[in-house]
Amino acid sequence: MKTRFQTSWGELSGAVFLVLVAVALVSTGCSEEVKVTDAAGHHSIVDNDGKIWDITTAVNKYGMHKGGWEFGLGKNAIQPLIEPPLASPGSSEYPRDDATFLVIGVSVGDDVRAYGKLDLQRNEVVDVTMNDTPLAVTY
Amino acid sequence: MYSRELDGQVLTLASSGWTFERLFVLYDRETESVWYDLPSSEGLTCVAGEFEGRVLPEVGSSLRPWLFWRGDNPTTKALPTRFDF
Repeated sequence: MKTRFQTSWGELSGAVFLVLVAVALVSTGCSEEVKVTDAAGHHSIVDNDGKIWDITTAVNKYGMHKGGWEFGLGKNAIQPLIEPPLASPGSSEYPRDDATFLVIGVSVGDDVRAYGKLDLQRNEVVDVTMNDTPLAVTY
Repeated sequence: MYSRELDGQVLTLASSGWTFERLFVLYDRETESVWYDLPSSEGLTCVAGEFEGRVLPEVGSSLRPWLFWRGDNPTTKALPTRFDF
């Protein structure tokens, strides 16, 4: 008969195992992406916000194998720029004529614009409308 | 640069937060369909979601140093930037 000061080796090792699992989950949980394939063959990935993305067709039809998907920062982590105001020639915010930074230059009819590559890399997408044409500028 | 109009509907494209093979995967806020620039396709392909299979066509743009773009396009507007070195 066991007293409260005695415990079996099995109980002790079980408790140690649970503690190790808990430590592992806590230490990896924040950055671990979850990639799931269910019994029906549906492929899903879960991002850091807990949003589940169904990528079944991406994997099966377009070759976007699960191993290639990374980061899962969440869809609000990087906000697009939406119709950001532009500087016109002569304004104080207009870049110097001799500046050499790289830009994506776009033109639709008489609407001509430049978006700096580094700004595009930071926001990933700029959604604009040029001469009634909705466009997404990306780098 | 891509058109973001599909069947008369204007889509708001944004980053999904995911990358595939180190390139950003986009989604549209209207339907949360997933869009990606596949090497095999010209334009942005919807690889999952309501618009799966559709392609947003690429529209011409050029990547150049500002001074050359400005020289060729003297009336160009510009996104204000602190990266104007």
